[in-house]
Amino acid sequence: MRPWLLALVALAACKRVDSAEVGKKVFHFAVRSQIASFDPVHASDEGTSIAQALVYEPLLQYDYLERPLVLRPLLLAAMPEVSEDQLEYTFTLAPDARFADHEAFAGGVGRTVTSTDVVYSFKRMADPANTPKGWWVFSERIVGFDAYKKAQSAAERFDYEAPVEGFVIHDERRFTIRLTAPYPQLLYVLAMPYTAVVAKEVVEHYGERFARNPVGTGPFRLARWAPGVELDFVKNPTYRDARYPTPTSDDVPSELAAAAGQRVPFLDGVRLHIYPQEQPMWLKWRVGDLDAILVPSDYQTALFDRSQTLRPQFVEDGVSMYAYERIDFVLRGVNMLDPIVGGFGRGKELRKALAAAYDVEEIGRAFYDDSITPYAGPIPPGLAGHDPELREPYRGPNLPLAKALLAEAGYPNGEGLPPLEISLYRGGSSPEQGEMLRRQWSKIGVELDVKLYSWPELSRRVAQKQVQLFALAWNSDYPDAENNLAMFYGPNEAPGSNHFNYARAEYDRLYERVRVMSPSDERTKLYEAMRDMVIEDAPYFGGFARKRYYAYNRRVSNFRPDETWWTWLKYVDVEARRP
Amino acid sequence: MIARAVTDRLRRDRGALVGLAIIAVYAAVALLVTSGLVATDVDARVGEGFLEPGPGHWLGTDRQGRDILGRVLYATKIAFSVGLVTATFSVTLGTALGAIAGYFGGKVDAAIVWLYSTVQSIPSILLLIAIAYIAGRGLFGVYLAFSATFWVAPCRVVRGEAVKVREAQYVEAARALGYGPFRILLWHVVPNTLHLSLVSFALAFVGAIKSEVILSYLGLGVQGEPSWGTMINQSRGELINGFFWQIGAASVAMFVLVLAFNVFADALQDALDPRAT
Amino acid sequence: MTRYVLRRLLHGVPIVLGVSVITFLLFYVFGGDPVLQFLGRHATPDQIAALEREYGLDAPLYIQYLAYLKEIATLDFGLSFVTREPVADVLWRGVGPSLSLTVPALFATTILSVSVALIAAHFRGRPLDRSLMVLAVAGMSVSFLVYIVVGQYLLAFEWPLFHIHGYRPGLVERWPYLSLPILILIVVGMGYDTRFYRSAIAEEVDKDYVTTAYAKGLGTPRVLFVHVLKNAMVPIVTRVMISVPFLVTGSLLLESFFGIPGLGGTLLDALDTADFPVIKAYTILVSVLFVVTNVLTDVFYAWVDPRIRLS
Repeated sequence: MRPWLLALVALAACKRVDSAEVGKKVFHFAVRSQIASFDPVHASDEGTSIAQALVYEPLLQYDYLERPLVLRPLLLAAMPEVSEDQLEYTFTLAPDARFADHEAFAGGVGRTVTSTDVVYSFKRMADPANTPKGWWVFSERIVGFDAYKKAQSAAERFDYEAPVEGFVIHDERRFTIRLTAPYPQLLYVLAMPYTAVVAKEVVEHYGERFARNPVGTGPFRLARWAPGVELDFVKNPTYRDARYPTPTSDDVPSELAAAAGQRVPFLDGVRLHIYPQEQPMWLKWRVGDLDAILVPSDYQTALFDRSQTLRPQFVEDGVSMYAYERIDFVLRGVNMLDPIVGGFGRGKELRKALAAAYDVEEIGRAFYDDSITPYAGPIPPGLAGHDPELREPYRGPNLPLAKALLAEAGYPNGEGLPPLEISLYRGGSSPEQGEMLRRQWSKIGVELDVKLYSWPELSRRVAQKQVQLFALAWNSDYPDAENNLAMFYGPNEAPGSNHFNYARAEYDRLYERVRVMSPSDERTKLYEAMRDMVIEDAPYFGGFARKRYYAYNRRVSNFRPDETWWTWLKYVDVEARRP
Repeated sequence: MIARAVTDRLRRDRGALVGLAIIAVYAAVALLVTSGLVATDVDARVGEGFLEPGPGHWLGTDRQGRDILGRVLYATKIAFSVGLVTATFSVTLGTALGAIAGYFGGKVDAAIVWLYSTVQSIPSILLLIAIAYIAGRGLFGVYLAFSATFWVAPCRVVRGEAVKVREAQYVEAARALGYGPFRILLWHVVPNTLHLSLVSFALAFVGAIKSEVILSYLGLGVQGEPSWGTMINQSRGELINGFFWQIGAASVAMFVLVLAFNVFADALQDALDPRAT
Repeated sequence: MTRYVLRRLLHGVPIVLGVSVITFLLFYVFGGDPVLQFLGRHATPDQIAALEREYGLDAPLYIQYLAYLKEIATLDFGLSFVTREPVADVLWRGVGPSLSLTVPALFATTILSVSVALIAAHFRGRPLDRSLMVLAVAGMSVSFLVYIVVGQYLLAFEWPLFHIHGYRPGLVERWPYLSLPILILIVVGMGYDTRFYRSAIAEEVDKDYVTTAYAKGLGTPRVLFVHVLKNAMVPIVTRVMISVPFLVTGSLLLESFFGIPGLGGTLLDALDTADFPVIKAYTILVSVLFVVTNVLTDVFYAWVDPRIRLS
């Protein structure tokens, strides 16, 4: 056995650093899930969004340095002009925005992005043959677009040339979007990966294989894709002259501001590693093969102590950490149609009793290293309508209150209450969180069955309204509470985003009003009123926002991750690899 | 007489005796847990999370501050129920089908062989996942998934033996006396394949305990109660943090029982083997 | 001979059909929902309906099953629900890495455990035999998951002997990445195999031909590794052949921990996203391999043992 083992060891000892990489600036980053598709109309999960943001660009992005998030032009020459009645948005494309070189273009040279490309890309979201995921961002918003979708889906062939009244092309670089009613979130939507701009020539060139062969306007191009292992991106040599942002306020850390005004990207390439497992990802980062990672919550304890200070060995290694505050809404939800916990009768008291027996701080301590921010109402911290001081009157842990409410609901000490059932995802720490919830509720005599499911099963059960209690983590699509308030809008009931099947006419009326309102004090007042209704009815409990920790090695600079958008990856810089 | 010879042989095998003693200790723990004398409240918090061993938590605490020792002991009960139910059910089913197939031959045999070949040709992990999906969560799903996959092995070996027994003189004699096929199956075929079933039983027991870890990894294992599989899974990440107690405790508890069973099954096989001298 | 093989292959058809019925029922009737899974949290009823039509999931079950049979007959399983690429591409991609992991492991495990078994059988009942068997049983009693988690942590990180994670498609470049997972597979498999082969070989070492061989003055290694081994070939090959159809399935746990893009991971991803076309093609692939190896095994028996007639 020994000589053979030696041979294995010799094989394994081959050098780690790729010789092709020496002297180059390649940023090694990890994603946690498989990259399914490079078609922007499929971009919904995090890994896919990250990969796509390297190659494709939507019209807008956010400022890398300013917080809270501020929109900035990306493919545009300037921010769009908005008409007085807020029904018309006129856009001007940047003159030097162009696609990367590719054989699908005339002469193999990538051409300038035109208004027609933008409209074509939007229309792709309406074509069922593309199995688009993001139609909801345009649904019932743009003049004539829904009718176009319906007519073309029914037709023999989906005609991209057929006109849509709401898309008006003035010339190669200028176009207008006409809305049916004011849509204040439109610009956020145009910063989402769904709306990234693609070229018709390339789509037609690749046909069914388009989803695996991205050609965009972005700073990088896909050079190699080893499915399930990694993706290599190289700098797009014809990327337009884009610059690192200049800070407009003083609270930007100096190490982030140093590169202001310089041309990006700094990197020669990006390698995205795919890690379904946490242990190998962490170990690879520890040995320096990965430059930056999102720290798995199980390993936060290894990285920092309770006061969130880096542990000494990491300081020694030159490691830095960035705590990203997600626009996050994690909760335990209730199906309002359930005969026991649902409804507006005694179910409401029961829900409040359950909430009062729930200790969210303990969840935070055991599973998130005390890094969570509990808050009342569905509006996450950092957004208009959020009140950090606000507490639900039934906030747990408050066992006397929980017992009183339970008795009020007609189940003194849990008598007469059948065991409740919570449906959870079967991975990560959620089974254990279910066990903790069960223990907390057992203190007031409530029995809980924890049921675990895979994602497809869980989606089916939620969509068919078969769950009684469930857990949900909602990461906002854009920084406007409207996204969260929509989760309680009656017509959005399952399979839509209203998993609670919450329906209250008063709330729905308010939602329909705020849906078309621009940010204003008046709108914030209405947001607050809606928030308070949800608190009053308690269709969910124990809401909190998570922090996510990114750790990066000494080589990395200009690193300030944000999970709402990913086109910031072009601002990151690393030291070149030494042999 | 055979039984006597077997027990004699086992008694002379020290390894077997030690194995049996260990199994007996585990069984006793499982009984104590079942009767509510030990590890009564495994969900209770006994202190902070990730404590090193100390009074009241002799193997430390998990991240929720629960007593690891209590949970390991409790999981013994789960291991025994998974092992016993699965082994009993799969071996009974496998023996019955195997004996019927081997004894009757012909179409019945073809049908049973087809059935087990089909089951066997589906990757077992896929079958386990699919059945655990359907049977719902928790212990019942685990029982069903294991039973539905584990019956194949005993079925094959018993069928092979039954084919031989069918031709044996005492079976011929029984047939000549006019006994019905089921009486012959029950009185002659099954007893003569019993040694195979017994060994299969031990193997299925061990297989179930070990496979439960993989099912737990996939989130399809025992739920709501601690099992060694769920404990190992929940503590996978703790190794990095330098906390070995939970993964260590569950792994060692499982290791010792599985080892004891394997040693005992070996000895049993030797003792039952008619060819051994 | 050809006729025999063809006939035996024909006998495999009911098995493949059985597998198709079982997988269809298990996943179509009871599994998760690929449409909702794909569309995510903003799904609308007409989007769901449109996608179900796109996937052919709106047809009655028996029509869907017939379509499945047609797919089996033509070996064309269409596009993956998730990545929208041909299923054949998805599976083909995974076959190489999975086989690179499992085939060397099977070879090494078999050679090593047969050797150890020969030695143990030779010293049957003596301390060496006993300690080898205790070692084998102990090796079998550790959970697979523990081997992986601890093996990766210790052998690739604490003592950096191996790569932690990763894969290169090159025919040479892949081995440094595969060596630790292969080593783990060997360690896990050796316990079972050594025990099995020892008892198979132990039956041989007492036979007359062995005594004769020794009487002729042949050395122990020659007697063991030539004469005994030859006669113990049937159980050895039987055991090896049982695992052959499953080689292609790779190893779900190892692949996911070590970043090997094999079929084990493909299956897990497909189950997690209810990617039916992939699951269907995968199960049929394995059952066909199962049938084929069974036939090959029988042909082998006839070859080593002329008393068995192929008729």
